Amino acid sequence: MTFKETEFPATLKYLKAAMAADPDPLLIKEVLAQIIKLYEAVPLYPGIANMCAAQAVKAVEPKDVAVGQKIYFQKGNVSYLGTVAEKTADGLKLKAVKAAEEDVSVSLKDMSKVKAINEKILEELWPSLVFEKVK
Amino acid sequence: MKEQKIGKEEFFLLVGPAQFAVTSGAVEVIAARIGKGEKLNVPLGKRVPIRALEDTVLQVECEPDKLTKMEGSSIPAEWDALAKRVVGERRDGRLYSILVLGEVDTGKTFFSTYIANRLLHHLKRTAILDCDTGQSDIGPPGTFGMLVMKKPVVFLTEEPATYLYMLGAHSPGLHFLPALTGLAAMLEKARADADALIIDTTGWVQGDGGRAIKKSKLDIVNPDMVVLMQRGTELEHLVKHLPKERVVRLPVSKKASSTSQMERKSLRELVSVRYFKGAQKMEIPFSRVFTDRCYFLTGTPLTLDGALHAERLSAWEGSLAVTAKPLTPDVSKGWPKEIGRVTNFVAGDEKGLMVGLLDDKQNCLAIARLDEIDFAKKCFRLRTPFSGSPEQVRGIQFGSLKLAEDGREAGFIEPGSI
Repeated sequence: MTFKETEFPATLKYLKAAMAADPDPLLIKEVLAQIIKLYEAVPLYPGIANMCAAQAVKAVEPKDVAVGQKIYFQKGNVSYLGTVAEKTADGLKLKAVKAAEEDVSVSLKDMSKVKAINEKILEELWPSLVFEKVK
Repeated sequence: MKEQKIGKEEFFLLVGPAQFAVTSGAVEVIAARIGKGEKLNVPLGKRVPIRALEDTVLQVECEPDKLTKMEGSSIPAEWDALAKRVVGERRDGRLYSILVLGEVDTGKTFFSTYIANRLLHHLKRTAILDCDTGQSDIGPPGTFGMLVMKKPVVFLTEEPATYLYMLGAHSPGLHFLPALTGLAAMLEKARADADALIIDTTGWVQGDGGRAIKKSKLDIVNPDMVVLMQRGTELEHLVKHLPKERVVRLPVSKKASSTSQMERKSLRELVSVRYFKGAQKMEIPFSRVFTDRCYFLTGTPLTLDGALHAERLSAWEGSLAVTAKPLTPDVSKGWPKEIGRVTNFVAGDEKGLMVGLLDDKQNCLAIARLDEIDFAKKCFRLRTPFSGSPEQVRGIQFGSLKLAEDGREAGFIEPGSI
C-alpha cells in the first residue's frame, strides 16, 4: 500500500517547507497557531485544514497591508507580529505586537519580508465548513 | 398554474421549485411513468426532463422560463441499451451489481435513478445504494441509504430508506473502515432483498484517499458492471485491473450542473432538516445500551474527585474522565497513578452529536441528535424521528458530525475524543 489514508503528513511537509523558507520562530509559531486553529475547526478534514493553512500566511508588499490585518515583518534584524491599527501613505502603527513591549510605528520603506496572516482563510476557501456554536 | 400541451414524444425540461399534474395522457420522468391524475413536485435545485408517452395535457406551476421545450431526449439511447444488457446478463438467484463512478456533479444519481426505474420494468426487485454521504439522496446526510424499490421513483430524496447505515461524516476520509464495513453490510442485505443493485458513490476519485477507497469498494463489491461517468479519462486509473467487458464509459451530460460548496451544504441541510422534522425527544439509560465507535461506556467505572464520569479503559489507553470544565492539574493531582494517561472530555461538547440508534443486530434503526449526556442520571437524551419503541434501541453509535436541533449542520467532534 502506498496510499496515505490521512492528509496529516502533508501538514508536516508544509511545516518543513515553511521552516526552510523562513526559520524565524515568531513566524513559525504563528503558522503553527493557524494550523491548530484550522484543525480544531474542521477535525474531519485534515486535507482542507492543510489547504487553508498553506494559504493563510502569504507574502505581501508593505503598501498592500490593510488596517485590521494581522501581519509579520522584519525591520532590520528585529521581527514583529501584530495587527495593523493605523496606516498612512508612509507607515503604519501596529498593535498587539509580539516581540516588542509596546505598540510600534514603522515606516513602510523600513519593512521587509512582510507576511499577511489571513485569520479568515477557512471562511474564504471553505465557507460551508464554518458553523455557529451549537446551542 | 398554466396548462401545457405536449405532443407524443415531445420533450420538455422543468426546473424546480415546480410542480405539475397530468390532466390527460401520460409522461415519463427519469423512466418513471406519471399518468392521468398523478402529480410531481420538483424540489429546489432539481431539474427533470419530461417525455410525453402520448399526447398529454399538464397543469404546471413553476417560475417563468423554467419549463422549456427540448429538441429531443436528453437521455442518451445507450442508457436504455445498458438496462437491457443488465436484464439479459442477470442470472436468477444472484444479485447483479452495478457500481457507478464519477467526479462530483457528473449526474451519477440521475443515472442511477434512471437505470433503476428502467430495470424495475423487467425485474421485480431493484435497489439503489446511495454511498454519497455528503450529498445523500437516500437517508439523511452522513449515512448510506439503500432503497429497495417497490415502484419507480423520480426523486430518491422523497422516499424513506429501506436500510440505513451511519457513517457519521460527510466524507469517508478519516472514516475509511466504517465506510467499507457499511458497504459490505448493505451488500449483504441487497443480496437477500434485490435482483439488481445500483451503487451510487462519492465523487472522491483522485489522490491517495480517492484511489484507496474506490479500489477497496471495487474489490468488495466485485461488480458485474462498472459505469464510468467521465468528462475525459479521469476515472481510467480506477479500472485498469478490470476486464474491459465489465466497464462501461458514459460521457457526462452537458446539462449536468455544477453545484457550489454552499449549494451543496444547503441541499444537505434541506434533506437533514426534513429528516428531523417532527423528531421526538427520547431518553435512554446507559444500562440499556452498548456504545459503538467511542471509548465512552466501554471501560470499568472509576470514581475520581472532580470528575462527572470516569472509567478505566483497556491497558495503555489509560482512563476517560469527563469533567465540567477542561481538566487542570489542580483537579487531577490527587488521582491515582494506576489510572494511566487521562483522556479528558468536557461535558457539553457532545451536544448536537449525530448518533445512530442500533438494534440488537447492529442494524441502524434511525439517526438521532444527541441533546445531552446526563452523567448524573446516567442516560442519553436524544432527539429522533424514530417512531418505534425506545426498548428496540440496543446500541448508540457515535458519529463525528454535529447538528442543530432542527437538523442543520453545526460542526464536528474530533474523532476519538470520547
